Amino acid sequence: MTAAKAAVRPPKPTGWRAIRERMRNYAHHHRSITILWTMAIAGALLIVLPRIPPLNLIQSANPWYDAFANAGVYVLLAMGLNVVVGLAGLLDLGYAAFFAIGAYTYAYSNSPFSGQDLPFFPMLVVGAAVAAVFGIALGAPTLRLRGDYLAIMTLGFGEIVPIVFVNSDPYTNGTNGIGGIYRPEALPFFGEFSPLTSFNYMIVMIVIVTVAMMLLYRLHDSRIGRAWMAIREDELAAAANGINTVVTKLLAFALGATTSGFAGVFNASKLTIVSPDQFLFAVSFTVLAMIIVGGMGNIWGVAAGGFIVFMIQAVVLKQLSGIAETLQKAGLLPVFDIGPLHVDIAKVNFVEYQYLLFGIALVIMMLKRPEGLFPSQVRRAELHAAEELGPDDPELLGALGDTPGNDEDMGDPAASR
Amino acid sequence: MTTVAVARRSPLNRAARIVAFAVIAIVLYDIVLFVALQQSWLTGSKALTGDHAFGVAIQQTINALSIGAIYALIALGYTMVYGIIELINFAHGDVFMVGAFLSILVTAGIFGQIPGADITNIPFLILVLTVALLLVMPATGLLNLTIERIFYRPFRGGSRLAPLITAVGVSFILQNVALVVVGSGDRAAPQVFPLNWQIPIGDAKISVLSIFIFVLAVGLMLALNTFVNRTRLGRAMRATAQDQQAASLMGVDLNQTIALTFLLGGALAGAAGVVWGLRFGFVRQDLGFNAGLKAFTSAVLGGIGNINGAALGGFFIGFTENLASALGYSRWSEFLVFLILTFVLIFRPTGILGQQLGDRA
Amino acid sequence: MKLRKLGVFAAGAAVAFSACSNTPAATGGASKGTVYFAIELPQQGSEKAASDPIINGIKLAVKQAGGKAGGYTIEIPQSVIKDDALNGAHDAQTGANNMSQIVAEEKVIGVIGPLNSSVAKAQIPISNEGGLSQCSPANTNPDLTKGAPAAQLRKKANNYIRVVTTDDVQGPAASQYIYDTLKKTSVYIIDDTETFGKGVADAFEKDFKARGGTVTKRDGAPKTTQDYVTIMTAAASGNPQAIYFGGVTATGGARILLAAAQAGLGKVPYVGPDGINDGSATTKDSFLNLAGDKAANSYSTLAGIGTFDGKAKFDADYLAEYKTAATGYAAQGYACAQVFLDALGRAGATNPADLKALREAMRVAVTDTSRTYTTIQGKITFNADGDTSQKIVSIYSFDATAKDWKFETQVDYASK
Repeated sequence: MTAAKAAVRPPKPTGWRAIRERMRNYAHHHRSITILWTMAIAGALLIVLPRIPPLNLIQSANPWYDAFANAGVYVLLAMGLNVVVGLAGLLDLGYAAFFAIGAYTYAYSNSPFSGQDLPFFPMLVVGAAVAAVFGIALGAPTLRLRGDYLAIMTLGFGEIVPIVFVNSDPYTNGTNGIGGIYRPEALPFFGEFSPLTSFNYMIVMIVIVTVAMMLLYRLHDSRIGRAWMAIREDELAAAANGINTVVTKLLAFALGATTSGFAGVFNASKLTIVSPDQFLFAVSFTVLAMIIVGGMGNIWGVAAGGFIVFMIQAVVLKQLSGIAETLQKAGLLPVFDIGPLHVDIAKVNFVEYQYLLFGIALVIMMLKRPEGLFPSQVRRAELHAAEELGPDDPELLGALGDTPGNDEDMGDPAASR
Repeated sequence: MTTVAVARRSPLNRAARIVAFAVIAIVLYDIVLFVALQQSWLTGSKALTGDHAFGVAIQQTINALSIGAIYALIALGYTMVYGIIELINFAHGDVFMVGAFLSILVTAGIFGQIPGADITNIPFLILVLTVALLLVMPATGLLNLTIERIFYRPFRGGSRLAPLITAVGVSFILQNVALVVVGSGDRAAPQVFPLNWQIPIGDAKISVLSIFIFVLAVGLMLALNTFVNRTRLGRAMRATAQDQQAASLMGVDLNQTIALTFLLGGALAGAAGVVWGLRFGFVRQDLGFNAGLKAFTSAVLGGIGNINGAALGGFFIGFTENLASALGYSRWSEFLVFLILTFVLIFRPTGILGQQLGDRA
Repeated sequence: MKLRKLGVFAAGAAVAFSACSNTPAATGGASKGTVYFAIELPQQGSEKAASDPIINGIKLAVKQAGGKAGGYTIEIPQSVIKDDALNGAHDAQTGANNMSQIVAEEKVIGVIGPLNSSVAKAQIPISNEGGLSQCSPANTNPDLTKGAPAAQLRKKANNYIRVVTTDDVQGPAASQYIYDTLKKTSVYIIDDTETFGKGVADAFEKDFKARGGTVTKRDGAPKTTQDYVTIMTAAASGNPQAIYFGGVTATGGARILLAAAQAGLGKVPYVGPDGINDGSATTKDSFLNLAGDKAANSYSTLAGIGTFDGKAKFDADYLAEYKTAATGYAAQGYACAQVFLDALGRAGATNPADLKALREAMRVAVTDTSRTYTTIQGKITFNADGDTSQKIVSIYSFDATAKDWKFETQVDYASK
């Protein structure tokens, strides 16, 4: 492993490193404030960047805001799945089901189909709560199972939910889905929610993500968070140390479902239609790819992973053909033939390769950089051995076992890989 | 030595028991279907007369055996791999899909070369099928083996989560490579086997193809069973499944044994792919996902790691799906399959026959 | 003026001209400027087979008009040809994202698409608020234009029209053909459990029962179904005289036919909607391609006119331009572009101040119920809902020698 080799070299204490160290210390002691600050800066950037080059050359500001708001949905999903997979180590492959449940809950409360028109913000909580209930209902009987059984079980659940929605016409309007969902009520100062000015959606999303992040970090740093990681590392040892593994795992499951429920409600209010085909396995897979790329276990990492992967999927791949055509017009991109193969990059539909890219990214990340692009300190600690973490580092407490690569009967994880 | 002796004494008895069980199960299913088809409140359409229902029930039973055999063949690969390295090989269903595409390539290739080939010519048919199986089975076996070598072996002995996620990734890679290569539409598979070869039993017409699929699948399963139980390599596989370290200490070459398992599993999936094309006449790139999921359900149902269990589970899922479709509830057939998976996992995670090849829960 | 002549006389020059006007410096100028027609269709897999002829049809119409209307130069750059497919099939969320991007591109004054009604449901709220004219060459779900469901999709004045008629006409047309022309009184109905397939099958079932026909069984098989043979064996047990399939090729059109042949229903007429009328046997991924000679007793409907004045010329032009025969909804795509070109001519005449005003003028012109459009499909008007006055459904049968769909007859529902 290259990372392991790098660890052998002693760290060079430079100015930048010292600053980083201080920032990290500050972040440890003032987690919520750090999140607030960071999200405020990120939010400001998201508002300003689409209005200046190079972003405004690609498309105007509103589609960017729209994309950012949609990306927020996936950031939420990624953060939620991270609790289940990254922290508690339970592979949930039917995560889209909870997303669907949140979305349908909002559709019931705010559409001509049901005749209800309940306020958006309370429904955000209700939708999340309903998703959580389903999470517990699914988790309670299945969390006794070992990990890979849970994976297949959740996969089955993820398949069942859309089938039920498709075939229960009187209750779900079947395959047509529920359309004409009402948008959230106008905000003071910001005004109406509209598809033309997705600005409001983006602002609400930033707030939701910030709150979710603060709550998740609190849990992550708490006794429960340490219990999750202990279970991830060694369930038997965790149980022996007095952790109620079933309740703890159930909590992770419920929390993941809750976050997904938030995302579902938001997405339904934005798309204004929910239909069963929006919640297929591809969604669960995309979110999984996001957290793997971002770095399982690290809340900031998976949020960044979710954002980046979504932007690649929704904007970059889509714009590539257009950019290629512009280059072609400017004479910068030739059309050429390689034998019988006619290469015209502007005609390539890059979106078609999206899941192939995701699959490759997933596999390469797992094989070459399992800690993700933005690894959590636990993962880094594992790979950089002891010299980086002081003995008083709080992260170390939950992580004295090592992340993937440990087994009862095998020794050093680095050696086994 | 004693185990060998026991194994040598019992097979006839055991075989007789299994055949008896199978016959009883099939007859029971036939009766259930026969009765159900005559209830219009159940089928939601005009009730069939007794004679007619009898014929349809027999026909549907044969259909169930045929799809069950395909699921069983795929399920074997899941169960063997899980038995040995405790990994759900998510990509296995997609190996089956690749097999089905390769089978198109081979059969269409032979057909294309011989203009006006008479497909009712039995020797020619046998030739085509043999060549297809002989080419596709090793190819998918090698593919599966390569997947293990490149993607799963680096994780050996490590955590269970990482290879599982990798397997999901590999599944998506196979699916999307197929998407890029052949597109997302259906591809017609040459239906080499004449569909009008039917044996009339009363009202019913039993297609020879269904019987062929069933016989081929059972033959392959018996061959596998013999291999696992009677050969040195098979014994190495069983030993590895029970305890990797101990087996290794006893001189079993782990890498070789695991590779062999993947090879065999892939080959069986390839065989399933060949008969799939014959039976349904189409292949598409996302075929492996659902078929794989159902096959995995079969493996779990029978008791994962248990080879006989996987075969049994495959037929069970085949019959379940068949029952739903035969009565006009095909909208719900997948739901039913996953519901069964859920209940089995909750109430009897060890499956019907229990786990034989190793249990480290 | 000089530039305009060039554009009329040579297509190549028109491209060169538009390339110039595309640069930021060339806003204003002699021409009123460049505007875009956006296209929003799924472009992956089997849906690509349906979308490509539409895109070609649109481009052909614009090209034949010299790339100009109302004093504006019309372009269709790749950046506004959006694909709503995800993982090989149409996706409503992607369609909605695309529509936000299209609406935000101020040069776009009209969008042609989508192919699928479920995508349209997610898009209409966006294009409607953006006041952007939208013309679908293929959406047939009635809920998009009629009654309360349609009203829920719109906040502002209507902006959506379609040149094809709806499922509540297409389904009954098939039913009428089976009952009256083929003289079959019992039918087995199966749908693909998706928006389009189920909708058209429902409309068919209702009409067939109303005519006094018997439905032996109504079933549904999602596109992920493995074992169609069992389903068709069950279908055969009811001894239907015909099979109606609601769906498209990608969701099982040909698979069900193959299974029907195995189950002994090979000689029974097999009828499907426009979803299986997707090209000849040589078209990749098409129904006829997959079904082979088993398509012998197949019929399909097309929610549009099958034969029209100038069809021969259109087919010849299309063939000359794209070296392939015009199939599926090529003519409908062409018609959408014609409607837009005509409307742009009238909108341009009002001399709108800026692109925003032009977009609104365009919307008003497009949805003008008093306007009779002369299109490739004949003279059509649109009602206040945006539905076409031409309620013609064409019936096609399989032509074994040409290995293609052969136009049989067309049913006009306008008077009914």
